[in-house]
Amino acid sequence: MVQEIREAREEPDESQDVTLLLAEWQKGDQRALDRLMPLVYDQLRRIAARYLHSERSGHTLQTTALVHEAYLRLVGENRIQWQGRTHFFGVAATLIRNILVDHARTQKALKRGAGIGKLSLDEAFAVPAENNAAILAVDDALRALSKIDPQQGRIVELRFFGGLTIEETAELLQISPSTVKRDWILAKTWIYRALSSSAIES
Amino acid sequence: MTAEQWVRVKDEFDRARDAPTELRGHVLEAVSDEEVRHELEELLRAYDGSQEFLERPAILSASVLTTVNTAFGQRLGSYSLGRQVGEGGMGVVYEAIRADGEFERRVAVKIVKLWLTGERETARFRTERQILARLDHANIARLIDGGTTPDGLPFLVMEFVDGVRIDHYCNQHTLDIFQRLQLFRGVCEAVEYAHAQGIVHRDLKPANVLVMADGRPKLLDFGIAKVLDADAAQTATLTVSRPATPQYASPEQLRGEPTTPASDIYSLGILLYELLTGQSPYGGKACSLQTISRAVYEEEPPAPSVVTGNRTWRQNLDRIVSAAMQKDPAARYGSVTDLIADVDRYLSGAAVQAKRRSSRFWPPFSIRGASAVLLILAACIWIAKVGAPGFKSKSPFEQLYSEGMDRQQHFDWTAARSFFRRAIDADPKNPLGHYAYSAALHTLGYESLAQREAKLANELSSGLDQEKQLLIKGRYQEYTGDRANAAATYQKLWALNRNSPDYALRLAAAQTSAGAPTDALRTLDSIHSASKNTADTARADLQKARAYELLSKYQQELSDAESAAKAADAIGARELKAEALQVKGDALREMNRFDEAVNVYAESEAISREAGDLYEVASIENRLGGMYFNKGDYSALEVHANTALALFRQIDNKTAQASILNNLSLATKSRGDLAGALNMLEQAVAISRDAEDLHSQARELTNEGTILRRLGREADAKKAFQESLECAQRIGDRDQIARSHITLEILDRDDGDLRAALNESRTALNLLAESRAVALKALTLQHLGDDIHASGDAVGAKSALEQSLALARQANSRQLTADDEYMLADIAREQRDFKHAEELLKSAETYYSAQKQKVNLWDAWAAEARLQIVEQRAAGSETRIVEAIGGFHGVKDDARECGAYAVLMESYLAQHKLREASRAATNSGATCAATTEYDARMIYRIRSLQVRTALGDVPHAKQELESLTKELEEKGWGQLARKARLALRRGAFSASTI
Repeated sequence: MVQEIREAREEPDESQDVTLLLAEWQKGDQRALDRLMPLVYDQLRRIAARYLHSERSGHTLQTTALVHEAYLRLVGENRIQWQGRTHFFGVAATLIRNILVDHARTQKALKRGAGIGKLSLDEAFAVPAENNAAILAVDDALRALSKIDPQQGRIVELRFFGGLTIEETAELLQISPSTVKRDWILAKTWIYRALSSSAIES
Repeated sequence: MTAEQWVRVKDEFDRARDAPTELRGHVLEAVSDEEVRHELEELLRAYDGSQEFLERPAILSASVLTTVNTAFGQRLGSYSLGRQVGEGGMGVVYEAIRADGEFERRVAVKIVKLWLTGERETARFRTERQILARLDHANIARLIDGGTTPDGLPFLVMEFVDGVRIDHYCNQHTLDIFQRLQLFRGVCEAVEYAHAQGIVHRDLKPANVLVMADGRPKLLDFGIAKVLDADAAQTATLTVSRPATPQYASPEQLRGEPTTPASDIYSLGILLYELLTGQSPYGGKACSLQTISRAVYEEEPPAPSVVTGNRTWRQNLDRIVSAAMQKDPAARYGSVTDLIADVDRYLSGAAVQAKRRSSRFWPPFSIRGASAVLLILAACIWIAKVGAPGFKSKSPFEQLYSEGMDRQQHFDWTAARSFFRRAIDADPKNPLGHYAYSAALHTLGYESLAQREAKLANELSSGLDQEKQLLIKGRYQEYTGDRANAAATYQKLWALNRNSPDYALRLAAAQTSAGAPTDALRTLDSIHSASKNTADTARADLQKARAYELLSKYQQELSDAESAAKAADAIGARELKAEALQVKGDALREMNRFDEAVNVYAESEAISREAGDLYEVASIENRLGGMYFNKGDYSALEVHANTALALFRQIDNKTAQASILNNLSLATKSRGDLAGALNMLEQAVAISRDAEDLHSQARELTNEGTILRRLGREADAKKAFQESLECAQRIGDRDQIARSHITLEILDRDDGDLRAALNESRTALNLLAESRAVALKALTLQHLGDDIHASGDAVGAKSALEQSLALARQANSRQLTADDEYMLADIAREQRDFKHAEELLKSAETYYSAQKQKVNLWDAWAAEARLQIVEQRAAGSETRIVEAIGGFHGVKDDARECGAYAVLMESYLAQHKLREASRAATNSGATCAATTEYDARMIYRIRSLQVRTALGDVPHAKQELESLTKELEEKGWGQLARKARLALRRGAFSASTI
C-alpha cells in the first residue's frame, strides 16, 4: 500500500533510474551497477536506520524484509518482473557487505584512536563492537575464497550478507538449489577453517 | 592449488562430509594427491563445527561468530541442548533434556532467529507464550517454557514429538483415502480446539504435523508464527511481512493482512489437497514468494478429481477442498467445525454440504458490503459488463480489468488496485482503466493519485458513449471538489436510466456533499419505492442519515444510521456496517451523547481495522480527536490526532493530514504555545498548497494569520489573511469567505476603525445565513457582539452574544462557550447584575483553568477585579491584577498587559491610592504605546488621564479627554467614549475625597 505513495511522491525520477539501470546492468553494463550502488546504498541505510532506531519497538530486522522494502521504494511494484527483483537482491547483498565492512573498519580505527573527526557512521548497522573484527575476518576469508571459487564466494555473499535463502540464491545464480546447498556447505566450512586457523596463529 | 585439485576437493568433500568418521578415513586414504588430501582433512575436521556458522544473515547477527558455540552441550536455563533436529526460516530446533536434578525430560528447544528489540517486545513475547502454554490438546505439541539465550535470541521449549511428517507417513504406510481423511480429521480437531481458545496456527503445513508411532497426528508450532511475528497486532501497518511458508499461506496472509481462523482453514484445504493428490495445488513452482503469491492470487488449481483421475470425487472431496481453499476468506467454511462435519459426511457416505463452485475461483457475485465510495462501484461493474463484452478472446487489458473488477466486487481493493494498475500498463489510453484505478485509489484514501487518475480518465473519455462519459466526468468533478457540478452531472446520468438505484445513490451523495440535503432526501425516497433489495435500501438509509445530519436532524440521522447498520449486518456487509456505525456515532456525538458515541466509534473502527481499511480507521481516530478537543481534553486529542495523522500519511491523504495538523495547532495555541502552533500551521499550509487544496489552504492561512498577529508580525498576518481570502473567493466557499471577513474585522479593530469592523462582522454573519457551520456562526456572532458592545450598545451586544452562546453550546464548543460567558459577564457588570456577572465569570474561569489557558484565566481575573471595584470591594483587588500583568508580560501579550494595567489604575483610584495609580500609569506607558490594538491603547490613555485628573491636573486632562472622546465617537467606539467622559468625573471625585 505504501509503495504507491513513495513512488508518486518521493522518488519518481529515481524509480525510473533504478528500473533503467537494473535493466542495463542485466544486459551486462557494469557502469550501470556503479551508478546503481549509491542509490541503493543510501536507501538501505535509511531504511535500516529506521528499523533499528525505530521508537516503536516490535520491528524485527530481517535482511530480506529490509531489502524488499528498499526494492519497493526504489523500483516500485509492478514495474519490473521478478527477474529484476532477484537481481536487485543480488546487488543488495554486495551492498550490505560493503556497508558492514566499512562500518567495521571505521569502528576498528576508532577503537585504536586513529579515526579522527567526522564519522560517516552507518548507525543503522551498528553491530556490537566485538563483532566488527569477525565481520572483517569473514570478509577477508571470503575474498580469498572467491579467488579459488568465485561461485562459492558469491553464494556466501548472497546468503550471509544478502540474507537470501537457498532457493532465492539458486534462482538468482541460475543454478540448482542442490548445487547452491553443496557449495554453501563447503564454502562456509572453508571460511570456518580459515578463521579458526588464523585465530590459532594469532 | 590448481583448479583441477579444487574440483577434486569439492567432489570428495561432498562424498565424505556426512559419512561416519571411520568411513571418512577410507575416503581420505583413497586420495593420492598430498595437497588435496591435506586440504580435505582440514575441511572435514572444520565441517563438524561449522554447521551453524554464517547461518544467520550478517545484519541479524548480534554476534557473528558466537553462533558457532550454540550447540551440543550448551545449557539454556535448565535445558541442556542435544543434537540439532531441524531448521527453518524462523529458527533452529534442538533436542534437549531438562536436567534440573528433579527429573529428566526430553524436550525440543527452538532458538529463534530474531531480535527482540526492546523491553516491550520481550514482554509481548512472554505474554504470547503464556497464552500458548494454555493449549492443552492430545493432538497439539505443548509449549512448556521459553526464554532468551545469552545472545539475546528468544527460545521456546516444546514437547518433544517423535514422529514422521504427515505426508511422508501417508506415503510410507500407503494409507488409503479413508485412513488419510481420518488422520486429517485429527488435525482439524486440534485446530478446532485452538480456534475455540482464540488461537490461530498461522503456519499449518505438513512439516508442522507429525504422526507418532501410535498413528496420532500432533501439531507443532501452534501460534508460534504469531508469537514471532513482530507487531502482530498492527499487521495492517507492516508493509513487508513475509509469511513463514508461502506455499501454505492464504491469499490474505500473502497480502500481509491480519491472519484469522479462516486462514487456517485455507491452509487445511491445501494440506487436504496434498494428502489426497500427493502434490501441491500450485505444482512444483519455484519457492519464491512472488511466484507463489501470483499463483495463489491468480490461478485455479486443478481439482483433486482431475489430478488423480478419480471422477467420483467431483461431487464431494473436490467440493470440500474447494470450499476450504476459497480465495475469499468469507467464502470458505465458516469454521473448522463445518469442515469436519463435511469430512464426516463424506466418511459416512452422506452428501457434503459444500456447494459446487463455479469454474472460477471466486463465488458468484453477491453484495456483501458497500461503502459510500462504493456507490460508483456498481456503475463500474456495469462498465465492466458493457465495456468488456464477452469473455472470449480477451485482450490483456480486458483480462486484467475484469480481474480487477472481480476483486472489487469482493471488496478486495488492494488487489483490485494492483490489477487496474497493470491494466493501465497494458493499455494506457483506455479511460476505463484510469477510471477504475482512481476509484480503487480513492477508496483506499489515496486522494491525490485518485484525482490524477480521474482527470486522465476524463481526458481520455471522449470516444465513449454518453452514459460512460457522464460517469467518468461526475467522478472527476467529485474528486476535485467540484461538488455542485458533480451533482448536475449525476442528475443527467440518472435521467438516462431512472431505474438504476446506483445512479440515484450517486446523485444523492453528490447532492448531500454539495450542500443540498433536501434534494438528496427526495432522490433517496425514489430508491425506497423502487427497490426491494436490502443492500440498496441499506445504502439509501445511510445516505439519508447523512442528509439529515446536514439538516441538523440528529434523531432522524440516528434512526436511519441504525437501520442501515442493522440491514448491513443482516446481509453480512462488513464495510457498510462500519460506515453506518460511524454515521450513528456522528449522530450521537451531535446529540451530546458522548460515551455512547465513543463506543459506537470503537465498534466501527474495529470492523475497519479488521478489514484493513486504514482510511476508515484514521477517520474514526480523527473524529475521536475532535470530540476530545471540544471536550477540552487536549492530551486525548493529541493521541487520537497523531494516530490519525500517521495513518493518513501512510495512505498519502493530504487534505486529511492538513486538517489534522490544523486541529492540532488549535490545541497547541490554546495551550499558549504560539510558535508550536505556527509551525504546525505552516506544515499544514505547505501540504494543502502542494495538494492544491484551496479549501484547506484558506482555513489554515486564516489561522496562521491570527497567530502571526498575536506574535506581533502584523505584516505577515495581513499577507496570510489576504491570501486566505483569495483562496476562499476562488472556490466560492461562503463559510471560508466569512472567516476571512472576521479576520479583516480583527485588523480593522486594530486600526481603530470600529465601523469598518462592524461592517465586516455583519457581512460575515450574512454570508453564514445558510451555513451549517454552527461553531463558525457562534464565533461570528461573538465578534459581532463584541463590536456592538464596543460601539456602546450593551443591549444589542447582549442579544448577539446570547445567540452566540446558544450556538456554542449546540456545537459543543466549550471554548466558545467560555469566551461568550466572559464577554457577557462584562455586560452584566455594566448593567449592574453583579450576581449573574460573577456566575458567568466563574463558569468561564473553571474552563480556562481546567484547560490551563493562563492568558484567558488572567483576563478573567482582571474582569473579576473590575467586578469587585464596581461592587465597592476594591480593597485587595490589585493582587490578582498584578499577577495577571506579570503573566501577560511573560507571554509578551502587550495588548492584554496594557488592558490589565488600566484595570490596575482603576483599582488604585477606587482605593484612593493615587501614588500607586500614578506609578502604574508610568510603568505601563511604553507597553501601551507599543501595542497594536487600538482599544487597548485607548483604555490606557483614558485611565492615565483619569489618574492625572485625580492628581489635580484637571484642565489639561479635561482638554485631552474631550478630544479623545471626540475621536472615539467619530470612529464609532461608543463604549470607550462613554468611559472617557466618565473618567473626568470619577478622576475629579477621587481627587476630592482625599
